[in-house]
Amino acid sequence: MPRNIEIKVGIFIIISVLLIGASVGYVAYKKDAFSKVYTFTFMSKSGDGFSEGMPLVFAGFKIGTVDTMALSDKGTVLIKINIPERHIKWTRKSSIFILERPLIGQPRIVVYTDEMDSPVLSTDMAPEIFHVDSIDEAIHKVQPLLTKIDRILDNVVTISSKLSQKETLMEMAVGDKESVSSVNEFLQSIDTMGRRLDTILSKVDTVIARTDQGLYGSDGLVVLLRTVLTDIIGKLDRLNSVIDDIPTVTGQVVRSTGDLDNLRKDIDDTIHAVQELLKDIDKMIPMKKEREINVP
Amino acid sequence: MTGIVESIGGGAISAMSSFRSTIFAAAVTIFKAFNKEICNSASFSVLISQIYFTAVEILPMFIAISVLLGTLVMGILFQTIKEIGLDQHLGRILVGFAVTELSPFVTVLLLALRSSSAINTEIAVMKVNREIDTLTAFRIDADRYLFIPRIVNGMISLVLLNGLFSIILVTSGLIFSKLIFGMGLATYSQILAGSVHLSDSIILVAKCLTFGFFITLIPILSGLRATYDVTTIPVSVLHGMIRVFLAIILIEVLSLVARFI
Repeated sequence: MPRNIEIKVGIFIIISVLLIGASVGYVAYKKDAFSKVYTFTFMSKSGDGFSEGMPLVFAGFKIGTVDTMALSDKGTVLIKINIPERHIKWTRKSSIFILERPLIGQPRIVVYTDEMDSPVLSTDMAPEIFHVDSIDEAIHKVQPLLTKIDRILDNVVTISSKLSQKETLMEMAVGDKESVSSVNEFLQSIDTMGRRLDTILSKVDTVIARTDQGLYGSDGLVVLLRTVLTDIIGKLDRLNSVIDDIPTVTGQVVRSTGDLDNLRKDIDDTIHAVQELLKDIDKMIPMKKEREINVP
Repeated sequence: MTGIVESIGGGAISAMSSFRSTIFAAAVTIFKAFNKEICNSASFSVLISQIYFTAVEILPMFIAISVLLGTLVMGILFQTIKEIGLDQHLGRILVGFAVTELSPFVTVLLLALRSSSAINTEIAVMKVNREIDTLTAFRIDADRYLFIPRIVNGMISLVLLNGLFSIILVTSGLIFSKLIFGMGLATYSQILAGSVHLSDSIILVAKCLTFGFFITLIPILSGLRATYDVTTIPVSVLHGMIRVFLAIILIEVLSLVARFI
């Protein structure tokens, strides 16, 4: 046999076996085939609903499998469940184990763990698995609902029959004809009110427009006020300069006051002299007693 | 009327006889296969050459067909699953249909078309040319030298090629799960792992071994039924291939029964 045939066959077998082995190994790893598995013993009053290979589920994820079942001396059923090491954390001492048998689908044991601080379940313990027969429970739950639904349907029939006696949809809604007429009147009054409201609003619009013109128009209050304020500001500026001149003026006034005193004295003297002169003139005028004139 | 009934009865008896002889030959072959004397260099050499002609030579064509068929089937399958809302059963459908049923069926059909017909013709020609008589005259055990290596080759080749086909299918599934469902490798492998059961895997391997066993044994038996006339060779091949396909269907049905009971 040619040697290259042996080599080709050898390569084919090695590669195929490696590929298949790797695939199988990967799937086995994903199925926790290589992780350490702990066997927990659970107790149940009845073995109904349990079967080997049944899944143990936590939050919808399979975390274990029922391995074996046996009847104990006490008459209870002992169920051994295999749980891989990485899933043990989901089973705590405070966990509740319930056998669920849904109407459709495979039965399963569900773990409910509220307190994650509780110690992890040990293999020495034998917690009880409670039964929830979904069919019976569903019937129990559905029974009151059916009664309520019956009542509701009766009421619906009554309401329907009453409504069918009415002439209009409005009458069905409000109950009787008087109420219908009241509603109609109310609707008419709403129409009148609406018209009035329209008128008022148009007047208000006019007033607002006028006010707007009075305030913001070319001859409006705002413009006038602006002019006045501008004028006042100008005058204040000028007054400011006048106030600045006040000290100078005051000094000049002080000096002028002294001059005025002198002037006043001169004027007084002059007036006095003129008076004296007048007196002299009076004296010179006939029929006057004194004719003597004293020149100052 | 009597002739028709006689014909039907004759056919039934012939079929039963053929079935019985095949089962008997299978039992004898299995018994001989576990004999230590079967393991010698000559048998091993024949086994290697048979694996080469059966599995290695067709490998490029086999991989091409696997990729083409696998891609098409997985694409259609995943799209249909999405359309009818069976997303939660994706893993079960992938493993239960594609890997466990489709993959071995396609593999066995390809091998039967190529190797079974070749083995049947080869044995029939050897019978016509009195080569088998010559081996017997020289006290060479034909079972040990000719038949058992071919049967073992059929079993090994089918298991290995089925494994390759399954890997290609699963890889195509990964691509389409990403494209159609937006699923990552972690989720896909988790779904796949959750759907693989040991019992299904054992049935798959057993089915492949059984397929490989019978698609080589039946052509050998059919070739040995040829006479010393050359014209019996095509008749022998024709009958042999029909029996091979009937055997494939029967094994498939039995495996389905084993899986779902």
